[in-house]
Amino acid sequence: MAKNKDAAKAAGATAAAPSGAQNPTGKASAKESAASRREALRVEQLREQQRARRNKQLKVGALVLVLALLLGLGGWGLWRWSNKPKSTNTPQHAAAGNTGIAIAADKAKSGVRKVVVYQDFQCPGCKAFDTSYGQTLNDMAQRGEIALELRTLTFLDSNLPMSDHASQRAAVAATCADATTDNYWQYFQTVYAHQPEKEGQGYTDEQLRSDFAQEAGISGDKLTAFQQCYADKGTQDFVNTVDSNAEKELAALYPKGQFSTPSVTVDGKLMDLRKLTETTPEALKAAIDATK
Amino acid sequence: MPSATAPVWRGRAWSDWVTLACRIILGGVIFAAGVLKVGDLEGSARTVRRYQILPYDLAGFVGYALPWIEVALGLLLIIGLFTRVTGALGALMMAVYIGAIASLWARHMSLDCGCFGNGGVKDVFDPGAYALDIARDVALMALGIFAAWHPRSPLAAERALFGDPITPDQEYEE
Repeated sequence: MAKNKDAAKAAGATAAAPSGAQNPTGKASAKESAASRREALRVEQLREQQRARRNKQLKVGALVLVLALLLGLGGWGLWRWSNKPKSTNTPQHAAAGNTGIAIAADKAKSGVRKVVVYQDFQCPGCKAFDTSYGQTLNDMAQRGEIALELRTLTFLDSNLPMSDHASQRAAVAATCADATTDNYWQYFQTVYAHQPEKEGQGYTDEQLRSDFAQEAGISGDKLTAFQQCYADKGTQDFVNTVDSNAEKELAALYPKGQFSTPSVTVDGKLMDLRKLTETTPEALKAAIDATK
Repeated sequence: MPSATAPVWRGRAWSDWVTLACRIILGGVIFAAGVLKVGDLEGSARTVRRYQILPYDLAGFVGYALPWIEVALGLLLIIGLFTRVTGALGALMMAVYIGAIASLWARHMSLDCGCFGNGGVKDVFDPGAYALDIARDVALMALGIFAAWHPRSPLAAERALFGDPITPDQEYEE
């Protein structure tokens, strides 16, 4: 280290003092020029070492980048592969564009308003909304008075890490119920009926796979098909599509993009749920009419 | 006279040890933050989207890529490879995070910063939490700046791989 430094200094000194050529004593001049040649050679060697070092750095740097890229791609690929649905089930009542589940779409009279409910299975407010207005909305849809669509988000999984993605698992289970049976609505209600008192405890696989399904009236071959769908995460892609679409839409509807669930839109306009203080069907109908 | 064969603790300037500490602390924090998020990339993407700074799709991409970048950068800092570059990148990363958190604060948005995964919506706007996050990131940024300014440190892979810097025509900068 110190040796390099001395050489560097000497090289600097040689370059700065060309006066050696004018030295009257030829002998000393020859000696000096020999020394300066030696120094120049040494500096050249050091430069060569420096170039070699820099080359090595570049090579290692490139290696690190390539390695990081390969590891990243490999890890991502592995993650994708391990999370890949084993089979794909398509919900029977998927809304056009896979934005959600349409309720009684065939019964909707022409020109009726479209009501969309955005909800997350782990959200207590969503349970409260469903308890108060879920049946009314379903009745209206069955009578063809509105076109009803349910869009399930899974964003609370990020807020409630201890639930092990209970929002997403519940959403997959509910859509599996639609894909393999006609019991989507019953299953949907069952999940809310068993929402834990303490937000964040989530739902167990056993509840979603077995208990809720039976309570929702799924049995026999249909139960087997439902459970296969849940085990395979058959509706995972559909759930993800619904979730990212819904988040995008809600973020655009709310100031600063800070949305919350439940949210209801009527023909794309956000309903003001704060004005909905009574839980009667009439109050809900008035709120739908008032949303313009 | 220190040479390549001398034990690492001989003839060391105090600043070398400071850089080692900077490397381990900054690298460790960045590495941990990355590892905690790598397992839930969708959550990481969601967190970046919630900041509402980048366009929706770009935010998702950043959310997926960032944890991996943090893991790699953290590892490089810890083993001491390209300390000048990684220290500077670490400081830059902190500067970006400080900007992002300050922007949440300025917009009165109530979010958890999601720095170590699981960034969620909070019920109340809490400027104190933002101040704390920013203070932490400022401290970490200072560590990165120090490491970039004085990259020489003991127990560094770059020294084992490349040896000491060779500068034939100028004084040592370090």
